[in-house]
Amino acid sequence: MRRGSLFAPLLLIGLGALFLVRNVYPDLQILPYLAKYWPFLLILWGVLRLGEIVFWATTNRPLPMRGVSGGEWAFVILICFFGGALNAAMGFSTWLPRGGIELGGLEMFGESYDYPITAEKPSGKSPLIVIESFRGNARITGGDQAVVKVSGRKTVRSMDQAGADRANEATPFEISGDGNRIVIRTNQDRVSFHQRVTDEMEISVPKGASIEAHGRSGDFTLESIDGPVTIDADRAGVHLENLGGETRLDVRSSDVVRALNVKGNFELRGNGSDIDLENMDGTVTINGGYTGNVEFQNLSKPLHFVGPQTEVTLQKLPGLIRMPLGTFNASNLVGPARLETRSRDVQIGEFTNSMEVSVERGDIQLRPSLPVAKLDAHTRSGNITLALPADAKFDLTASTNHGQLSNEFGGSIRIEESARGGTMRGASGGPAVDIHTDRGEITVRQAMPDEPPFAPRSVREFKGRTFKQFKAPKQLKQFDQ
Amino acid sequence: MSAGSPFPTPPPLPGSPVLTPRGTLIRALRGPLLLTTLGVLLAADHLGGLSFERTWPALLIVFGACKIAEHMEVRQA
Repeated sequence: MRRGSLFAPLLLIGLGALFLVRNVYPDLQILPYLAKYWPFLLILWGVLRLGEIVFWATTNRPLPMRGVSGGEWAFVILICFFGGALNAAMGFSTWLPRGGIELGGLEMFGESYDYPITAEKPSGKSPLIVIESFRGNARITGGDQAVVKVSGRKTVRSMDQAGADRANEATPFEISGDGNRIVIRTNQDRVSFHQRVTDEMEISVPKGASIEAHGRSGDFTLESIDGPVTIDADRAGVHLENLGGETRLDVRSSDVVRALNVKGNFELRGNGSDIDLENMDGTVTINGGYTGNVEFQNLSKPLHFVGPQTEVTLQKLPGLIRMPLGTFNASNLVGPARLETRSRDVQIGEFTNSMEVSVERGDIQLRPSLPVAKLDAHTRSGNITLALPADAKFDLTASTNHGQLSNEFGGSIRIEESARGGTMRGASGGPAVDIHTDRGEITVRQAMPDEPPFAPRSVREFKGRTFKQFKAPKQLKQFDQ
Repeated sequence: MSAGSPFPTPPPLPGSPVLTPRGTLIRALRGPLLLTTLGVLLAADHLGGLSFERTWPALLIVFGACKIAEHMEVRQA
């Protein structure tokens, strides 16, 4: 009998697990991980095969002529082709020219050579500062001086000092322009693709400056700037604090976007992991897929969040929204608000004005404040719990096609049971409260005055976790854990 | 293999001709070793910026080393 390799069944199990995760957590974006880590599939395959063959040999069983057959090699080539294409398509690729190089990974060959950067240029009080595309980190701080100052270091990775010196000379750091428009240029493109040059810059600018920064990979930290800020980057972590103007970020792949005390409107596009916004005075518009911890706290103007699976609109958020994978927790928000999501367990407490919640898969818990406003919540599959204040006025219609209804509110609510589900009705002369689930239980109960919030306010110290380290994201992640 | 081999000739696996274990171990290991090396080089490319364009000769080295090991094994046998 033929002994099949373990790889094929394991591949099937892996594929099954992948699709299962995809179905259970539709928000989790698997493609970027697949694009980056697919070579480990080949390693696993090779190592399994090695193990099998060694085992067969030690137990004196017959060995195949070839450890990997011709058909399997064809499959390997197919995997490489699709993996490489996916990698390039997601923008990770180093195969394509100038696709970007991941920092801080395996650096086995060569050494790092550092060169200092210093430059200075007098400017007006509110110049436009343009930072041309570069790899590395930039920290931009606004101050009272009418001058743009840059200090920092350039790092060249090279096999020898002479090569590093040549690369350093080929990539002169430049600061040019007049008092109203200043261009900062690292000229990293002038060296060959294989030489890695990165710049770490501390830039101090007049407080009224506008910033237009382009980055390939690295982090941006901006503090105390009153003019508009535009950041466009392939891969970056972005940290903003005390900004006065409009902020627009377009980051194709971000590990963290964090903003504190931003007065102007804030717009974020792209894909990434964490978002953390706090004390935002302008409207907040976010469009993109974010798979990590998404958190909003104290937003004075409307929020509009559009993700691949989740869409949120609300008018004001004095409280907090926290959206870890598979859940949506919110406390203290002002409507009219709307939440539409494919698969999340939703908990919303202390909200005023109308609310519309639409969930495909997931439980819904709602706890409106007084006075209860128009409320419409439905899920295709999941339980719904509605906690109403004892003296609330409402006109309730709650129905389930398959599932139980329970009235823990008492009073005027009646249950009409049908074959598998039923409807619960009760009117006390208030706005319409419609809740419906296709499959699941519905509970209506009285809210207790001392119930803990669904999303308790964050107790973390923002200053301590944000700007102490120049390379902030990794430090931040450790702190958050 | 010679008739005096201490190993009984096993039934062949479908699709792949079979020699006795001693004669084919290195040869059987060659494919998986190359596959693992390929995976490591591609992973280094995607994660560490160690470009596959630069590291691909490692595949030739592994292949060559396997060939030498095979040769030595056959001579020993």
